[in-house]
Amino acid sequence: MSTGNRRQRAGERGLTLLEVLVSIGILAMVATLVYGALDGMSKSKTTIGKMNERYQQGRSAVSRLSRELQSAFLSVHEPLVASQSTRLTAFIGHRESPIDRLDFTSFSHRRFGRDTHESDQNELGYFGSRDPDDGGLDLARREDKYIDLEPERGGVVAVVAEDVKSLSLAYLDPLTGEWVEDWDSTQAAGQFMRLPLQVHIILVLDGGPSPEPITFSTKVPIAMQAPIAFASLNAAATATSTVKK
Amino acid sequence: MSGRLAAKRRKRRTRERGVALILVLGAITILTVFLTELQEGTSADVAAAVAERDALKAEYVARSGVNLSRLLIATEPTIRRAIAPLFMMLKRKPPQIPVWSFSDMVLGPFNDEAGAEAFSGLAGVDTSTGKNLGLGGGSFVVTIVDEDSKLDLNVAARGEALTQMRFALQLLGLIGPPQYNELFESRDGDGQFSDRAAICGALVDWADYDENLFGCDPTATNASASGGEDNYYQTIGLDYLRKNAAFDSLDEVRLVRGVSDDFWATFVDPDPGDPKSRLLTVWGQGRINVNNANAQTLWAIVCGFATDETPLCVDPVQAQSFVMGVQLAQSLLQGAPLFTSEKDFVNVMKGKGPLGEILVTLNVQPVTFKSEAELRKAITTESKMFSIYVDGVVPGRGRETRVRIHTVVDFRSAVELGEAGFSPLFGGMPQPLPGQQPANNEAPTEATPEAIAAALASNPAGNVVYWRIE
Repeated sequence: MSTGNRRQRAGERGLTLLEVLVSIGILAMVATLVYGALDGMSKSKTTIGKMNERYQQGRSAVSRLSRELQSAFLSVHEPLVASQSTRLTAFIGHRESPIDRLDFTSFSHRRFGRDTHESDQNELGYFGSRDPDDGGLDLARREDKYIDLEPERGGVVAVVAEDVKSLSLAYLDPLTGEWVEDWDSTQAAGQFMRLPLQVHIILVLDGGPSPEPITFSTKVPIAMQAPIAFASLNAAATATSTVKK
Repeated sequence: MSGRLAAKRRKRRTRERGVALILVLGAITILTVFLTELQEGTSADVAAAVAERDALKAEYVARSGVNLSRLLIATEPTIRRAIAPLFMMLKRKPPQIPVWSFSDMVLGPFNDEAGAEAFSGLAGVDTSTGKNLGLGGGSFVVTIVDEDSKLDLNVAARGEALTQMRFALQLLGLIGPPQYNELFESRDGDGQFSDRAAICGALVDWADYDENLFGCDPTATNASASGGEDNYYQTIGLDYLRKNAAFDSLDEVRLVRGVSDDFWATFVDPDPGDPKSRLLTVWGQGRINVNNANAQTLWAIVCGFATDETPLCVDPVQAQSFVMGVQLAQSLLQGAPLFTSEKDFVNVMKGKGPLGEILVTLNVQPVTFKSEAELRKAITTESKMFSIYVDGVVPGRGRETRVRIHTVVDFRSAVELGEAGFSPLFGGMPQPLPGQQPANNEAPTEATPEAIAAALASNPAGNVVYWRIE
């Protein structure tokens, strides 16, 4: 029995060092190739994912701003005595570098809570803000669910797009047909009680993994050009006089 | 011999190690996991992008629906003029034609195939030969609501005690029936008790310009006999004050005392899926259109102006006959106008004319009004304020993208279609006609906000006073 075993072992040929080294070499080469391929794919996947995220963020920020801008409104429904006024509707846009600031009142608020005293009206603000963690520039959105006498202050702030290079807003003045960079509906020297015909939005985001920045651009028409006055005493008088004519 | 050879071969095979195979299998497994994850991530990104694209498409389909609806309403005076000779033969003034009631059919050719078929069925015209008609890859559903057929909360902002009291009467008529007692007997969402009079008073006080508390008591002789307005909203911890001016939008009503979700679902908008069923509005011109108002609203209007002992207002049997008669007439006429003028309505209620006689045969006794002139001021036969609800619908694989635009358009000062001079650009300021000497490019010197507002209001397609995208 033991003689048989010994014979068998003698029949087995061991591996030479060279054979082992060559096989390990081939194995390493194959493993490197496989890893290289997988790693490359994984890296491109991450890059594409990040790029997609950048595009997604930009698109949703622009579409949100455009939809809200369409509902921008000014109202002359005010108490007869100016001192009793409790709210001020406004549209104020200022050129600021690199992110322009825009504050306006609109019909775009969404109610979520049951029995909450919230309407569809709100005060909105879009402005640039520094990220405290990485120092990058973010586009922030401010929403106050109640319109008060300070249309540029108050409310809850949330970031709508990170790492923004710039946000440029231009306003088409319906009177002159020219694009202007500032708009103020509260000042007599500005565009008193008027809204722009259109707003041109150019949002430039840092490309993330790509060296090229990503640009989003759109022009938004504003539906309510004149301040709403359908129920004011003047409007009633105007309507009556028109009917009489 | 051969058996020993075979055994040897078997032994050798068992000693062979398949490293390459394991390697390949391992690589394939990792790759499969990796690719599955990649595919899933990509699908999610594509779905998000497609959803965004469809939403944008649906929004523009809806906008197109809004523009077509405005055009449809603007064509009404032209249609009315076309049928005027018919009414002149009957020695009557042509009434307003409710073209908006048939918007889905009339706008069919500009919609998808189903809409075009509906139009072909209505007009007997084959739209397939038309050029540039119809939408590809989407459709719109239009609902036009006549705001002048609803009870207008903004009449309280007129500052007239009589109007406010009339409004209070109509509102109390709406929220008064005893089946709603439970809503007013328990604590509201703010933990406060708000009875009918408190809510009615709060609605008026929100919109009226004065600082007096409105009692909402139709039996009181003085409308503002309850003292000064309090600081209720601040007391219960809300971050706003009473407005003392007209409501800008219907949802602003939610800010008012006692207007909870239950109140809203019962009295303001009983069926959010059907905007026509809405009972209250803030966008009315302040006069209810007796041709389009529902039977209950008509009853409330008549009884608001009738003398106290009018049988129609005190006898439930007569009230029911009246409501049934009006509902029957409205369903028979399919939207065609019943009354040609305010005077016509007053006469019918007084039992005069063929319609008045029909009411008498329904056992509704003629009504005596306290002041016919006042009633005629509160009613109209022409609607001027319209809500346009358009759903843009884009079908996708396994889902449907819907975007709704709700807009309210004021046609009170709109000029007739075809009248020259209106330009949507440059603030609607009158522009020179083609062929005329163009004005200089400078802004008109008299371009005050009032002038611009007046110019905008003359848009034949009406002046937009509300716009919201859902």
